[in-house]
Amino acid sequence: MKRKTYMSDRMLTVIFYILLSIIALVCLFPIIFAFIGSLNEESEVMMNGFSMMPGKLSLDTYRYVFETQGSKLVNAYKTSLIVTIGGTVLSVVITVMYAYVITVHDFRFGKVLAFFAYFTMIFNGGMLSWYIVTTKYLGLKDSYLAMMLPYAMNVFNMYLVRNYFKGLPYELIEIAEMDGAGHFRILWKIIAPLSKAGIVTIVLFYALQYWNDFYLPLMLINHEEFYSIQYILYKMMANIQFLAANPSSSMAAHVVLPTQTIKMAITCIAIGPIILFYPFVQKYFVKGVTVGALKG
Amino acid sequence: MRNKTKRMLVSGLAAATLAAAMCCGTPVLADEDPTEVTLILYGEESARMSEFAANELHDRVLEEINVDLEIQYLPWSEYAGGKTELMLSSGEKFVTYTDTAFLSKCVAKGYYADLTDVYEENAQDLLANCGGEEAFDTWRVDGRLYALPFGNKPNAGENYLLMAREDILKEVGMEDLKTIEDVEQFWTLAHEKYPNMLGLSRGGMNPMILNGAFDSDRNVYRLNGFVATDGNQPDSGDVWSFYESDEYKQACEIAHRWYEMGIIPSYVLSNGSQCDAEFYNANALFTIGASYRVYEYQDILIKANPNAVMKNYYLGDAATKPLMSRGAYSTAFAVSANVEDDELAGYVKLINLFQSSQEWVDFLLYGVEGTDYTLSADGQVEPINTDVLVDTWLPDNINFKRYPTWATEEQIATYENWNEGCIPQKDIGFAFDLTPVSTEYAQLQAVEQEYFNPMTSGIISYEEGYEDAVKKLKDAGIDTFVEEYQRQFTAFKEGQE
Repeated sequence: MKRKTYMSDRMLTVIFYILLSIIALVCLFPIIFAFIGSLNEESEVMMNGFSMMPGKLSLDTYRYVFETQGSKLVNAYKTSLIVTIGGTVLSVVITVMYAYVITVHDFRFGKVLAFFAYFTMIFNGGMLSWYIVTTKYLGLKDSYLAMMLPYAMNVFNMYLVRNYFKGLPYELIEIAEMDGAGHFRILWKIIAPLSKAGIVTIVLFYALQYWNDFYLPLMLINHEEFYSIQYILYKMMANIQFLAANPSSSMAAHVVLPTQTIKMAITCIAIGPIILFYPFVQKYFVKGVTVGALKG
Repeated sequence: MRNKTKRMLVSGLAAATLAAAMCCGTPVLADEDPTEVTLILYGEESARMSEFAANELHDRVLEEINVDLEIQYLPWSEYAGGKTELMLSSGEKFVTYTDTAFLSKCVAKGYYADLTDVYEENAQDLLANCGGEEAFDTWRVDGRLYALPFGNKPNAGENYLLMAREDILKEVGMEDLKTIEDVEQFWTLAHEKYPNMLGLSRGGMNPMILNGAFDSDRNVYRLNGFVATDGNQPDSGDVWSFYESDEYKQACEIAHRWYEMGIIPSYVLSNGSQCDAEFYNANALFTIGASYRVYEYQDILIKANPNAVMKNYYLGDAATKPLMSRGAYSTAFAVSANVEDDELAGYVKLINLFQSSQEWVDFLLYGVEGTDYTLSADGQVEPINTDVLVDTWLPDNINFKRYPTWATEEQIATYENWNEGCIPQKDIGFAFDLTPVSTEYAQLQAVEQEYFNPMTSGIISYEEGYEDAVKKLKDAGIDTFVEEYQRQFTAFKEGQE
């Protein structure tokens, strides 16, 4: 049976498309601006400021950045990739296992573990104690693990997965147990495949978190070989902000700033992989967040 | 069976976490000889600096004073706070530079090592080359030394001078800038010739560049952003609220006029980095001056315009309002409190080494002769490698100064005699303890940024903005702040007597 389409519905659809297009443009504008800005010629930016339609497009800035900081950037990319891939795998495994343990009824310490996780959402020990424990007692400094382990489990993500697991019929677990399956088999063969959307969502969350993170490198990394791409970008911006906040300080007079187009080029280099990665997991991302939220 | 699996699952998780945590901990081997020293610097490390620090510099320091040196870089945002403070409070061992305000805070919290008993034996070169005991006095608290002064350069009138493009000044037929009218005339003539050129750029507007031109008997010295004193009255401990003074009113009136004339760009506050970029591209006439900045800035500017020449100008009469000097140091190095005994001596030896001779200052600044630079017959540096090693301002010492090839005899003579006729700043050796008024200070800073900075930069006129701004200043506690400053400064002056 063919569904009748009303004029008002069509009008509404058109309005929604227009509104969404405007919002999308507003979101896209800074990214496009940064990209075109990185292709501007420095001398033109000096004379006329940035332009969305520059007189001449130039790859000179990228050439300069890779010639002068090429080895640093390649190494930073390598660090970011290792941390993002390694950290995401580690975090997803720990998060899924933790969520499973507090979902299944007959784990004796399930509730205690749930409380431990929840407690950290409300209270924490503060920055100094965290820093001392991390660097002095766990030795997490100047290593890839230093940029992964402190973020190994995000409690919000764990509850997101727990809610997803709770949405599945509990009978599935009971039947599997009656058939002789152990918890590892139940988790990896039954629960995980059924929760693909939820797990892909936290994969994206974790991947974004690890890729975008500059805080752990700032706190725990002192050697250049472990700098991530975001940390390089952060350092550059932090120097600029320091100058903006203390224009007359004697120290600020010594800050040497990168040129305008270099800022834009490094921004594009840093956000590139996320922009490429995001469209492939977007459908899971929307579904996972919605399902997790509704079942909460 | 199920219980066994559960136990395995839980213990597996625990073991994995523990193993991961343990395997990443780098065991620190006890190594008493040589002394391990970590030096923290700020900003960006160039590719050549990374290589230089790990190889040539490291090996030479090891050979010379048996110190195993490691250099780490932090962003400027972490200077005097942030991660630096976290590292100090968690007891990490390192040496880094400091300033008088941060020193006072760190000494009160016990973050800095007391250097009194080790500096005489291990810092003889610093004493000889960096201003003597007088320079060390700045870094003492209650008679104990907590930081080592570093560098030695004539710096009277730092931030109280206007630096301008001398080449353009001459091009438009002028010789000197001595008054506000001279500056305005120069701008008008230069603007006609170069309409796209900016006026005041890097650093924005600082009212103190107008100090010499104020219609006032006082030689205003700003002790900090909010409190000023008369630099011409060395024995007087009187302070006043700078933003409520007549001098500030005059500064705002001049700044507003300059803003309307276009000398101060409209985006001076909102886009400081654009101002900087224009300046470095040799597309600006003025910036805030200091004697040594001629060398720092002109070195950059001539890459964009080989004819660019920078010169400092004092808008006033130095005989009635002499320039004030804070001491000749570039900065000072403080050591974290956990460094003790022989290790502390190693740290002091390292800082001392960096100012011990022409050879060492050259090595830090320019690298390896033949690889990174060559020396001309008249002793001027010709760089081979353009990467910056240690920031040029840091080890700058007039005893070991190498002038760039472009520096004229007049520029060199001006710099070397710069401090002649200057007077010492009144607060040398004084460190204000912010603790009793820390809340007020935070609020005052917010008010300064929102209400006073637009007036200081001339964007809002004094008549338009002052009433509201001063009300906010009062609400934020300026009176309490000035009162506390007065109390501590009076005690300091009485102690001097």
